[in-house]
Order: sequence, then structure tokens, then C-alpha cells
Amino acid sequence: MYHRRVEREILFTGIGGQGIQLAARTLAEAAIADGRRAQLFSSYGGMMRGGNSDAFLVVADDAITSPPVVGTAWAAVVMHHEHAAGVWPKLTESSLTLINRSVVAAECRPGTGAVVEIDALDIATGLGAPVAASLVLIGALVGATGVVSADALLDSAARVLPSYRAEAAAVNRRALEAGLATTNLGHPAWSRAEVPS
Amino acid sequence: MTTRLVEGSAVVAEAMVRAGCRFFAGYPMTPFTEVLEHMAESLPRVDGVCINAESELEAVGMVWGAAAAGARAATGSTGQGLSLMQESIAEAAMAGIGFVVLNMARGQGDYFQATRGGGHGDYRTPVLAPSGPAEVTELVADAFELAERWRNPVVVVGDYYMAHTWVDLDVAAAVPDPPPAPDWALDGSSGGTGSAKLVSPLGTTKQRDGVGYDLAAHYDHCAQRRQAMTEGIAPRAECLHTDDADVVLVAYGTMARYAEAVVTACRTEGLRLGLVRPITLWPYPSEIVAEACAETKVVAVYENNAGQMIDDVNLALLGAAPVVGINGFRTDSSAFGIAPDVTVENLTASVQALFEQYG
Repeated sequence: MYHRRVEREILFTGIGGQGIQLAARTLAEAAIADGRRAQLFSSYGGMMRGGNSDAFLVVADDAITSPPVVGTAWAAVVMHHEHAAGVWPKLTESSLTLINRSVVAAECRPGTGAVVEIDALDIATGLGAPVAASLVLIGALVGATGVVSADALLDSAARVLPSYRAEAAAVNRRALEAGLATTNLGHPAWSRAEVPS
Repeated sequence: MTTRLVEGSAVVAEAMVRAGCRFFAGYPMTPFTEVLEHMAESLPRVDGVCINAESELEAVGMVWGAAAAGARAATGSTGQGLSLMQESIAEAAMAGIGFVVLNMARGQGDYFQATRGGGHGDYRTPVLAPSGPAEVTELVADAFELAERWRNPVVVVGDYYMAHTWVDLDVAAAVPDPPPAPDWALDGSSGGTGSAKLVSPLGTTKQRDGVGYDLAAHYDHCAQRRQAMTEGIAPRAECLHTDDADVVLVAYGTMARYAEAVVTACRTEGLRLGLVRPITLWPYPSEIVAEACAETKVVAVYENNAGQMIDDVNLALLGAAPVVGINGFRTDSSAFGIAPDVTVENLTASVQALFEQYG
């Protein structure tokens, strides 16, 4: 019988400056720390602020066969509405979408799948770090799915930062914790809760 | 062994250093910039040199010098920058200087530039095309071996997708030392004839009759060397499910990864789809393509340009099977060669249409 490998595709969309790439890398690093495989393709325009910023992350138990840009998403992390239209066609009724409700326009919602809305920017601003909003949202994703373990996620906060940003590690970790606290495990990513040995 | 999340461009740089590259020069241009940055970080750690040159012209000139002095050397760029380098690449081929050129393309619009070159003279450059970061280490090492063996520039083709795909990589042990410089390297010693060693696109020996170089003899020698190289490099391709395929896709580089995913999916639905993935774009694996497509009903060339490699597939098949192109994709606003319509789903639809038309 044909065995389909389990690959979890997570799309990230937002605009430059929202921390899309950092959030995607944080999640990818956590997946590797859990003993899983990860592949991440990042796509962004020339503008440092305001241009499109997208990421395509695949997490799997085994070698990843997916090409860089995935056509179907298991989950989506939507930080901004500006470029989100490219994400909706990739969702299915079993997809889970995390919405940064503080920013994403009310009319901008997927037509299918489950939706979890988090005031990510407001929560991050309350922590004194509005730039960490994307980390709040992936914290919520991990809380809802367990796609990576919470410990691995929190530990990866410091690891993904360049040395000249090391002082941000502590507040980034708090942003992840705040996001984790917003959701319960309603959409488990893996059939068994434990991480692979 | 430690696993790290590494950007594709860093995998390329790591592969270069492991293959013995100790001199690298280039000028920034996305997605080559990312490799240049990683080389600037990596090479000093192994006592190598990386230079951000004033332009691509200077970069390839510096690599000329380093390679002539016996270093494993490399440069690279993206389309326009490589256009500037074509004169030097051609001259290096005529001079018998081997180095590696990274063609970090945007999309696949530079297939002809990579495989034909835009320089002058009767030269060719071997071209290797990894399908992604996982294959880079092997093919970059092969490229340096070919450059050294045939004393000829060798091109490795990548793209934005490859440069920007982060993968988990097992970080291996210590970096091996590069091989010793070849005997002909210009190291300051004489050639044993009382004359200085000479490396030149005009010839390797100067006549002592006041006339200078014997260009006719040199060009004959270059032609013989090129012929030997053409016959000496085994064309390579990977075939997937071509034995019984009704439809065969031909794709290289990143595009082949989409094609592979579609072949796997179609086979589970009973559709007899196959794939040929050329690994050497020159010499082109014409015989492998012809053999893989001998019994097929239609061959579809999937490439992220308006149709370039399709010419080589037609040359390989010489009318033995109908050949169609799946190409002409629009790019996204970054203009870095990302084609939003290059997806498994779209290619699946194209393939299903071919089964209906030819099946």
C-alpha cells in the first residue's frame, strides 16, 4: 500500500518588518531540535519595510520531498492582509489559519478550514516589543497544534538571533510564551503527541 | 554529527570550501550576493581569500590570476554579471585555466547563457545543475575536479529557490585541505627549460624567432583539448519511472523537484508519468533522454523560461517523439525568478491534459 509521508506545510505571509522570516526560522529550528526534518523557503521583495514577506515551511518525520513552494498548506500564519490573497487558494477544509487580528483587515479571512484569531500585535505591544508579534502568533500555532514542542520553541528563540540582536532573546521568549498561553491543543499536528526519538 | 538549519546559499559556500576552493571573488547581485556573503565569512577561517571586487569584470580577472597560480578558485554572479564575464571565461578556456563559475540565476532564463556561453572562440564549458541544496555538495566537488582535470571553466547552475531554501544539514567534521597546485601553476619557478612558465590564451610557448606565438598551433591544440573534454565527460541524468511512461517530463534544477513530486503523485493514481532530470547540461545527456523517451507518446519540457532547454531535447530526440513545452511562467513582483504558477497542482493539471490529448 502506498504510504504517504506526513509533511506539515506552514505558510507565513506578512509585510517586511513584521518578523515573518524570524518566526519561520524559529519554528524550523524548533522542529530540528525536536528531531524532525525541516525545509524553509523564504521570499521577500527588495523593500526592508512594507514589501511582501512570505515563507514556506515544511516539517516532517522523514526526508522532505516537497519542492520549495508548496501548493497545499496544513496551516497558515497571516500577519498582514496585503499579500494574503496568495495564501487562500492553498488552504483546504482541514487547514488551520492563525490570524493577527490586531492588524489583518476584518474582511480578510480564509474561505475554508479552521481559523484562530489572536490579537498578536496588541499582546506583543503589551510586552513592550511590538516587533515580536509574529512570535506571539507562532506561539499560538504551537499551542494549538504541537507541531513542535513548547520547550524546543522557547529554546530556539535565542538561537535564531544574530549576535547583534542577542538582547532581544528574552522578550522574544516571553512573546512565544504569551502566544502559547492563548490556545489549547485543538488541532494536533501529529497522530501521537510525543516527539520522534 | 550536529544538525543545523542552513540557508541554501550557505550550503553552496560550505560545498565550495570543502571542495578546496581557497580564492573567491565576486560582485553582489541577488541571489549570488548571499553566496558571496557566506564565502566572505567562510574562507578566512581556512586561510582562504574572498574579495568583493569592483565589478564582475574585476572578479573574474582576479579568479584568472588565482587559478593560474594554482589555487582552487571560483567566481559567479547572476545573469547580467555573468554576461560581463563571458569574455574572460572564453579566454580562460583558451588559456587552459580551470575555475568554477556559479550561475546563481533568477529563474531559468539563462540556460543558453550557461550552456552555450556568450564568449568568443571555439570553446565550451561543462555545466552541472543540482536540483537543490541536497545535491550541491557532490556537484560542486565534481565541478572543481572537472575544472582541474580539463583545465577549463566549469559552470554550476543554481537559482533563487536554491539560494533561499533553508535545509537541515548534518555538519560534517573538519574541512579537508585542498589538493596541491598542479605542476603547470605559475608559482614563480621556471618550467625547466630556462624560460618562465607561461599560461596564456595565445599559447603556452613563445617562439624564439621574434615572431611571437604560433596561434595556428595553439588553436589546433585548443580544439583537440576541447574534443577530449567533450568525449571525456560522461553526460549525467536521473531517470524516474521512464521505463513504461506514456508521458515523460524533462526538467532540471528546482523545476525537477516539482516534476518529481508530480510523477510520484501521478503514479499513485495509475498515470504512467516519467521524468528525466539532466544533471550535466553540457555535455547534454542526449542519449539518456533519447533512450528514456523511446517508447513514450509525448515529451514535455518543464522549464522556468520561455523555452530554451526544449531545443536540446529536440536535438536529442530528432523527431522520435512529439515534444511540447510547459513554460512561459510569469514571475512575482520581486523579479527574482519566483514563478507563482510553478506549483505541483498546476503541473499536475498540465500533465493530465497531456494524458487526455495523447493517451
